[in-house]
Amino acid sequence: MKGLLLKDIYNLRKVGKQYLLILLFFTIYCFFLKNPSFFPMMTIMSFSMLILNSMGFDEASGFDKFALTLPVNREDLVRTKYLLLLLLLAAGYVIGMTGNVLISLFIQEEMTVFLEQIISTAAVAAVFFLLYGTLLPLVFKLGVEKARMMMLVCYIAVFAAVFAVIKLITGMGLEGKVTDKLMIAATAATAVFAVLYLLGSYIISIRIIRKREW
Amino acid sequence: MEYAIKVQGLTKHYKDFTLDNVSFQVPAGSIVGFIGENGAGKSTTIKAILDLIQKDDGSIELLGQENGARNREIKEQISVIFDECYFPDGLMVENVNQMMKQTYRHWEPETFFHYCKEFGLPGKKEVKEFSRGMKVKLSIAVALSHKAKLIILDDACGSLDPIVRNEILDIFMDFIQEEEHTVFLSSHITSDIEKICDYILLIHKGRILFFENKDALLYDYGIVKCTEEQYKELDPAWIVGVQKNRFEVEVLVNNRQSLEGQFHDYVVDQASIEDILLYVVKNNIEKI
Repeated sequence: MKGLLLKDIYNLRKVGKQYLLILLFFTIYCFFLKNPSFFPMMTIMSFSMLILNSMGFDEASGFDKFALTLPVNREDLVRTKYLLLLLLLAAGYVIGMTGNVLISLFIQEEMTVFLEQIISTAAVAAVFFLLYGTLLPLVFKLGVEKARMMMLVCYIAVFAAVFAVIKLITGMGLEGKVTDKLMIAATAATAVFAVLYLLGSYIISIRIIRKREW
Repeated sequence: MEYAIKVQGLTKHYKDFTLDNVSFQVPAGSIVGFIGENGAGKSTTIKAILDLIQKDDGSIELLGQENGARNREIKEQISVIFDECYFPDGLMVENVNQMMKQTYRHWEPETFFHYCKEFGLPGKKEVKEFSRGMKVKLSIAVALSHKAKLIILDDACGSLDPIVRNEILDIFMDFIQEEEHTVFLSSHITSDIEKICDYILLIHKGRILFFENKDALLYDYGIVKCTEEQYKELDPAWIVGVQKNRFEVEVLVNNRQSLEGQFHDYVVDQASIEDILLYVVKNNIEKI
């Protein structure tokens, strides 16, 4: 599995320069908006999207067929992609939060807002867990190209669900009553749900790959 | 006798094609040529051996292990070379080396770079810049660099020019010098098969027609060029296929020596593997 992951990293190096430019663009954008909270959201979103690039490269070259002739089993193919997704989300989170701190220091944002930033960024990461948890089994089943159309549907569904929850909270008049403790508890509950969702998604992907033919 | 591959009653149904009760055994230490026309079932058989498709029936042993393609230990000892190179476009030779180092327990970087150098593979170029032949050479370099005992080639040499193909066949001949090394070679290029193989496995329309020792095959099979009257005198049991034209009848027979002894005035040429394949396909022979 280490070999497969290494191959993915070599593949993704190609988009490294583009990503540096994207980061630069986000940084300038946040400076102008004087809103560093935008930065980690965008890094998480753009880094997690790399998982589709990685699966697209494999699909274009037919790598999976060859990989199964190596000392690698079908489950390893799925395991590697989920691990890569976690690494990309973690990288997006860490780089995003680091950028957030640096931009905050430059624009002299109050650091008291920072705790809120950590929590809300974790919530954003959880949303992307849900998004890719839905998307990855579809990619394993249909391939990247067909799943790209589904991606739009997944994006809309997940963000609609998040929007509905926010509406529900404001509708119930809870907005002003949401304390930091409640926020942390809600984020923790979302995180647990997101992890369980991703685990379920992983099990479904394993079942799909076991039946797949090349 | 030990067998590197044992296939028994392999069956796989598709909407418009059936791999029908395929059985054969590849002796360890031999080179077996797997021939058949396009769509005969060669690649499907190889995919089933490698567990890339799910068989409907039958059993497959690889290096003595049932369903060996699902076993990591067995796969350490197998190399597969397809007709295309499946390494992603952005990889370079050194990347492939690093990746394989993390994949195979017995990966040998020196051997790999030795073959890369011998095949003239550029170290600084990405796979996408390689020609098709270079891509196949890269796959061959990988296949030869992790102490494999069994190499399976699925029409891999078709994109190589005759000179390189010849070099590669020599490399496989060297590989086979080790007693326990085996090569299973599916190819359209019957001259390659004739040059290096010990046994010939012929598949047609999803069915195995024969598995024969190559020398015995070339000794036994012949093409008789005769008149219509002479053709009628031949024992039908000897006749494998017939091709008629305005001037003569050409008959593929499976008992050349007996025929030559019995009919001194007949012209009997030795049949090549290609002749046999062409007769089988043209005459749509389903059993030999």
